[in-house]
Amino acid sequence: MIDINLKLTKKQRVLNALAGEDVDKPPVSNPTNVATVELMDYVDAPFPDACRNPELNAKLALTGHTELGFDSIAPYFSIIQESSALGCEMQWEQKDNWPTVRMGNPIWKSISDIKIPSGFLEHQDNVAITRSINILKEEVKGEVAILGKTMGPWTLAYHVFGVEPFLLLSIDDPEETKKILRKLKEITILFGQAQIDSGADVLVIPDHATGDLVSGKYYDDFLLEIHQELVEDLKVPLILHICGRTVDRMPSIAKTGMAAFHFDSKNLPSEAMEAVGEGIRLVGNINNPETLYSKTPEDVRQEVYRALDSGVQLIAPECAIPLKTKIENLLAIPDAVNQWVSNKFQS
Amino acid sequence: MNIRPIEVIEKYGRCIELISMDPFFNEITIGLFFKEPNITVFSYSKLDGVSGRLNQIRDRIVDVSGALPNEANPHQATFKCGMEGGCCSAPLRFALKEAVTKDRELDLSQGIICKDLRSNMMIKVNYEENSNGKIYTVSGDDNAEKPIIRYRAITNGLIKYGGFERIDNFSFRLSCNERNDKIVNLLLPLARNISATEESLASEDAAGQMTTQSLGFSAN
Amino acid sequence: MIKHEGLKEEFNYVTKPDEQEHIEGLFASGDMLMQEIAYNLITGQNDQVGILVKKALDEDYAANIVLDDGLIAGMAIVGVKFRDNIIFVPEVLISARAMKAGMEHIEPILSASGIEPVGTVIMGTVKGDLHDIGKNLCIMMLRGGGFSVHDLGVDTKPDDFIDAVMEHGAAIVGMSALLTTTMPNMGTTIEAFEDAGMREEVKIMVGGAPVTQEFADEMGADAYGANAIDCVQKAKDFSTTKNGT
Repeated sequence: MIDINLKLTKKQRVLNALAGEDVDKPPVSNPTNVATVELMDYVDAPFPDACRNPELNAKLALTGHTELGFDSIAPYFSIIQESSALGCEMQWEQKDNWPTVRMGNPIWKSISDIKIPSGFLEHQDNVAITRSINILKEEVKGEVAILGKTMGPWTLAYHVFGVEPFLLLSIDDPEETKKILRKLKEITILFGQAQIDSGADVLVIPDHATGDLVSGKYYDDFLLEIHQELVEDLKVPLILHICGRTVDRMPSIAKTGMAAFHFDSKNLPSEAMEAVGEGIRLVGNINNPETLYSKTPEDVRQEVYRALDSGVQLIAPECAIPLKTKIENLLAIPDAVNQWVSNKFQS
Repeated sequence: MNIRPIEVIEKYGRCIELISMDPFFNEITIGLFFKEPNITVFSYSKLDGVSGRLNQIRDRIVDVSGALPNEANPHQATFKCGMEGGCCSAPLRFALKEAVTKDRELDLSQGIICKDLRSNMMIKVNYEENSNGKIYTVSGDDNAEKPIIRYRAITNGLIKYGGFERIDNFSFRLSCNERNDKIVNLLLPLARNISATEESLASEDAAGQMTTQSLGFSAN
Repeated sequence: MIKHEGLKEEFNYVTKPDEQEHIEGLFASGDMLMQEIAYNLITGQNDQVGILVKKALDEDYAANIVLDDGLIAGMAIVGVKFRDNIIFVPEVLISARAMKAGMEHIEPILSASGIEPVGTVIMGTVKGDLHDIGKNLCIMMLRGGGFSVHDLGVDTKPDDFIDAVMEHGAAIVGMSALLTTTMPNMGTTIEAFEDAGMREEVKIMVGGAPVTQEFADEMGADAYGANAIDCVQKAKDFSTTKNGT
C-alpha cells in the first residue's frame, strides 16, 4: 500500500516494498544493473576494469543513487563473476560490451568434475564484488539499499557444462541433473553469503530457466524446491530473476517464498500480477532494447505508468540495461514514479 | 568537467547519438546533444585534452554536414534552416560517426561523386533548381549491367538515411528545400549499399545489449 | 495409415487439418518398421533409431524410403509439437540426435547413389542471430528431399548469402531468424539481392519461430516456411518452375 505521509529512506522503501509493507512511493530498484558508457566516463570506471576492480566497481555502482536517483545500488553488473572464479574461459570484451563465458568450451562434463576451487572467494572477480559492497556500505551509511547478486544453479550449469550438453543431460538423466543442481547450489550459497557478510541488504538470484528454452514444468521439476531452500539458506530478502517469457512458471515462482520476482517485458504487467497473486512481489519491467535504448523519456514514462497501474511493487528496467542507454531515459524512470504518485494521491 | 548528468541534459538538451568509444582519443564516449538551436558535442570524460578533442569533432561535423559553428562555444554548431523539422536531423547520426571515427577529407571539388560498390560505375548526384525546388538527381556513367536499378537503389538509400523528400525514382530534395551538398555527399557512400549500412547500424545497436539471446540462453 | 500405438498417440498432437493430412500421407505405406523408427525418433531413442535404420537397410529397404517414411515423417511431428510449445528445446535436441543417428547409416548410401540433386539451396540464419536449431532441421529435411544444401551457419551477412549464391549457382535461398530483433535483417538481405541486381535470379524463402506469412510478404520474400516440412515443400515448388534448377 502507498502511504504518502510516510518518510522513508531509500533503503527502507526497498525493504518495505519487498516485504509487502507500506511505502511512501514505489521504489525504483534495478536488480540487475545500471551501468552505462556515459556513467563510466563520468566516474572514470570503464568496463571491463569496473567488473574486476572493487574501487572502480563501487564508483560506477554508486552513480545509480547519486546521479540517477534510484533507490538501490547493485555492484554486480553482469552474470559471470563467480564463473570466472570457477575457472571458466572468459571473454572480457571492452568498454561497450558485456563480459561473457565461452560456453562453447565448458570446464566440466559431469558431476564428479564439480569442485569449488580453493581460494574461490578470494579470486579477483569475487573480491571485486564483496570488497565493492564493503566500500558502498561505508559510503551510503544505510541510506540506500545494496543489492548483491549470486547466480542460481541453472545459470551456473549453463556456464560450466555448456547449454546444449546440460539440456541434453536434463532429459537423458533428470536425477543426475538434480544432483548437479544441488551441488552447484553450494556455490550460489557460498558467494551469496559472502556478499551478505560484506553488507548486502538484498540478494538477486538470476537463474535462467527461461521460457525460451525450457518448459514451465522444468521449473517445477528442477528448480522450485532448490529456490525454496535458498530462502532458508540465505537470510536476506531474495529477488529471483529469470529473463524471457515466464508467465507459465510464475504461479510456481510465487511459491518459492522469495521476496520478489524480476520479470521481463515479454510478459505484460497485468498478466504477471494475475499469475503470482499474493505470493510474491514483482519488480520490472521496462523494455530495454526498444524503449530504454531507442525511444524517448515519454515512452519510458508510459511503460512505468503501465506497470504501476497494474500494481507492480518495484519499478525497474527488465534486465541489465544496454550499455549505450541514454541517461535521460534512465532519469525518466524515477521522474515517472514521482509523477504517477502525485497524480494519484495528491490531486 | 564536473557537470552532473542532470545538468548536462538541462543545459544541452536530449542526446541524439552516442559514440561509445572514440578510437582517436582514449576511447572516451562522445555524445551529440540537441537543444534548439544548437547541437553540442559533449563527453563526461575528465581527461586532459578532452575539450580540444570535442572542438575538433565539432569542426569536423561542420566540415561534413554544412552546419555553422557557434563562435561563442567551441563545442556547438547549428544549421541555418533550424533543427526541428529541418533538413539535418536524420543525418546527424552519420555526421557524428564520420566526425569521431573517420580521419579523412570529404572532397567536393569534383562534385558529389563516389564509386559504386556493386559495379565499376561512378555515381554522381547533380543539383539543380527547377519548379520542384532545389533538387538533387542521382545518375552515373552507366558502367554497370543494370545501371537504372543501381540509381534507383541509391536514391532510396539517400532518402532513407537523409530523411529527404522524394521527387521521383531518381530525384529528391531536402525537407527544408535548401541546398546542402555536404550532407548529400556524406550520405552517398552509405546509400550505395543499404544492406551493409543497415548491418553496421544493427551491430552497433546490438553491442552492449544483454538479452537471453545474446547470453546464448535462447533458441528464440 | 498409422498403426503403431505409440505413434498414434503422438499424432494426436497434430491438430491442424492440413498438417494432419500431410503427415498421414507421410505414413501412407502403413509399414510398421518405418513407424517404429519414427516413434523412436520422436521419443529421442537415438540408439534404437540407429539399430532400426540399419535393420531396415539390411532388409533392402531403399535408403530414401527409410529417410522419408521413418526419419522425416517422425521429425514432422516433432516440428509441430515444438511449434505448439508441447515440447521445448531439450526434447527437440534428443530427437535431432536420434535423426543424426539414423542419418549416419543413410547418408553414405545417398551420397554414393550419384543422384542429381533436385536443386541447390543456400541456408543461413540471418545477421545477428546465433540460433540454428530450426535451420538445422530444415537442412536435414532438404537434404533428405534430394536438395544440395550449403549451410552458411548463423549470423550470416547479406553479402555472404549473395557470394554463396554466385559460388554454388544456387537458385534458392532459405533464411531463418529466431529473434524478433533480427527478423528485419531478412528484409535487408532481400534488399541486398536487389542492390546487386540479382533478385530475379533467386527464390527467397524465410522461416523461424517469430516469422509470419504477413512478415514474409512485407519483406518481399517469395515464400514462408511455417516449419521444416513446409520449407522442403516450398523448395520443391520452386524447383518445378524454370528458376528452380
